[in-house]
Amino acid sequence: MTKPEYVIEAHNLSKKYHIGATRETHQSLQQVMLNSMLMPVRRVASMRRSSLPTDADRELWALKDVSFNVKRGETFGLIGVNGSGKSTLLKIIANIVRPTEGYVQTWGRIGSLLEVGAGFHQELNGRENVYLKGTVHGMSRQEIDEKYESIVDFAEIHEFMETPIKRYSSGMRIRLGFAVAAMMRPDIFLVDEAFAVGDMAFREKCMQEIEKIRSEGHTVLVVSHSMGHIIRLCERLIWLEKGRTVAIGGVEELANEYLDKTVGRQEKALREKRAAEREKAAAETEAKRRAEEAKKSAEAEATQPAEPESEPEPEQPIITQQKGFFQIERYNPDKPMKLHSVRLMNNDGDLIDKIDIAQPFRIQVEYEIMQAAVGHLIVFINQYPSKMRVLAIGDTDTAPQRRAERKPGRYCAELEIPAWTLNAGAYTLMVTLGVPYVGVHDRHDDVIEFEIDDENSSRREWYSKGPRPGVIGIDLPWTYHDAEPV
Amino acid sequence: MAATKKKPESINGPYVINKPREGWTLPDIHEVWQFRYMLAQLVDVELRARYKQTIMGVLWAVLSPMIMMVVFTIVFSRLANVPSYDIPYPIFAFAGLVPWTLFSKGLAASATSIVASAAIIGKVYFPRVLVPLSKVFTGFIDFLLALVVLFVMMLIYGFLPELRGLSVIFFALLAMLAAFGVGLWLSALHVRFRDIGHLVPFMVQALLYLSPVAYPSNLLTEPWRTLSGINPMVTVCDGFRWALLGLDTFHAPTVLVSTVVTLLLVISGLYVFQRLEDSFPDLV
Repeated sequence: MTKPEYVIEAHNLSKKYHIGATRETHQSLQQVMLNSMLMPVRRVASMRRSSLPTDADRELWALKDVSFNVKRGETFGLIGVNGSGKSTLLKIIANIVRPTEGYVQTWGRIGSLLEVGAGFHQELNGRENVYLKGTVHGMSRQEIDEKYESIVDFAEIHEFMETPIKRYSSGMRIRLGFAVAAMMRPDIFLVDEAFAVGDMAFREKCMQEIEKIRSEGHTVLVVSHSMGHIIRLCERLIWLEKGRTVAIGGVEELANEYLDKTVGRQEKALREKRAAEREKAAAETEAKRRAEEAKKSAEAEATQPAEPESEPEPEQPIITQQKGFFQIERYNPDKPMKLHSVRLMNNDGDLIDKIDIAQPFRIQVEYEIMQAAVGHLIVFINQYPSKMRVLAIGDTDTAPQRRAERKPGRYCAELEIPAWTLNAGAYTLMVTLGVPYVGVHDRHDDVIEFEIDDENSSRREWYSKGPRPGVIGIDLPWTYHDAEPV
Repeated sequence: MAATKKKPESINGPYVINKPREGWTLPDIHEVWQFRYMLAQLVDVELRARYKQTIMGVLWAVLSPMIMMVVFTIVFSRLANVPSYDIPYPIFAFAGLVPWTLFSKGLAASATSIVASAAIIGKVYFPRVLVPLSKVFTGFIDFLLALVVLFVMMLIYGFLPELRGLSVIFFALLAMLAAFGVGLWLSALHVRFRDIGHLVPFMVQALLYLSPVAYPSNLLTEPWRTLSGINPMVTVCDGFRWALLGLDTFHAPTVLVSTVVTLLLVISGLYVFQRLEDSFPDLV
């Protein structure tokens, strides 16, 4: 079989979605009941409406006239903010969704990792699911037999292969999902940042595996919000905005432009702030050094003056801020500890920024200690926009041994905030590394914004006209000593 | 960044073109054949998953028609005195219940199958028609087990198999095709109208009473007998009793009507399914 030069050829791909008008959210129990009774009537009414050709209710072009080619063996990145059409494009390439206009021609077997744990059957165990997922992706039984060991090795979950998937942690699902998809070595491998949710070590392993797949001559398409990943993996990029192509080009040309334009203002502001801080710090140390030098040269005139240091221009940090996710890369502060990433997740490990008051949520922070130092990770939850500090909680609180001098390395700490802790409202996370009231090694304000929502709780019924005041959401039992008991 | 590029040893798979589809089409038989391993896998998964965390396991495939047989014997034979062509009522009922279970399980499972498989449908491509088809095949595996029990019961009641017993293959196929045809219609519509999910149990219940499972079909006179063939299960239940119990329930015009109806159901179902297939990933 001849091998074509291009394995993906997309011609004027367009995809239209109809989005229904948003229904008002229910306010009280009465309304809920009324709504549910009126539902069939409304449904029928809206169905009749939508069947009329004149009604262009609300059309959304998730993709519009997107054309590009991908060569065999190339790693191609899809970038754009949420809702720019990246995932729709991947699904069309994977032949899952049909385009409304245009067409895409692909060559060879396509393997995809579109979402965490996708295509797993909850009741089946890990081994059975490997076979299911392999077959679904077009592998024969013998092929899976051959690759089974390497899949399990890669996922590093040998002892859980006989356990039903429903008892797996989200991390284990990601491991297995990635392992199956990667080990089948498809001609075209589609990755939708699913692996970004895993822990740092595994993410690194995934990145290396993708690099290996690429070096073996397979084509890889990557969607990621982390520009660090994109820069590391991809040769060429397509940049989408509202379903339209902004640019197609090499990663060097596009990545910086993209960062400048989209991640935009916060990024720039942060960069400027850091630059100012660095300048200030540099000026201080310079002044110190000069003072010392003057002292030294006064004491011993024979000593040669120190050579002026020519510091290399520090690389600009890359900050990624997305729903429930913050990451800072290429970042080298002159301090012993630095932050890597912060994640806000629900119990399934999905990144979130809107939390139901009745649900617990988790904060995961990854940081690095470059030189042995004393320092704690402290996470602040601040009310927004008042900036009032609602909670300050450190990773040494329950692990006093961490208060001593700590060894260099990468650390990951996770915290669960129980349900009914914060009242409904907006909050932001602030992360500091250091010793309280003594010295801060690293600090990042407003890394993640999130909202606690009580729409679905009974508390809402009695405060239907507006938010319940306060920052604490705890539900306490009342005892009643009424004169006339009910 | 530029790693040395070695050409892969073997690249398998031809070109795939994903473009808008228009008009009414049938599923691509060639493609369905290519995905036959997937069909086997779906059936395998369904069977494995269904009996996880059960004590009786696969015995349920046999137990459910047997329990129904006991209930029917008490209600219809003892209390209501329903005639059964002068053969023992339990074997009469069981011979109808075994194909009925094949049909009703296949129908009920395939009708909701697309929505139930949302997790795979939105994530990977394969001919969607395999989903309802796999449910019908799963029911067939259960049916084979129940058939063994039926043979044992036949021997106990002294019914020896004759050559015409082989015709159960035709009648079983008819039951499966009928379930598949209705399943295609319902599963495709279920994606848009979730009401189908609520409707299916009642439909199955109603069909049970409209089919001669618990009662004999010789209560009908012409032309109603021939017309009753619109419900393929009339032919299937009668066919099983004719083939295995030696009853005089074979009625050619009814068989013809049922076969035509079933084929129409399957063909129209395939067209409708294929027409709506593209909307599945967006709506499930």
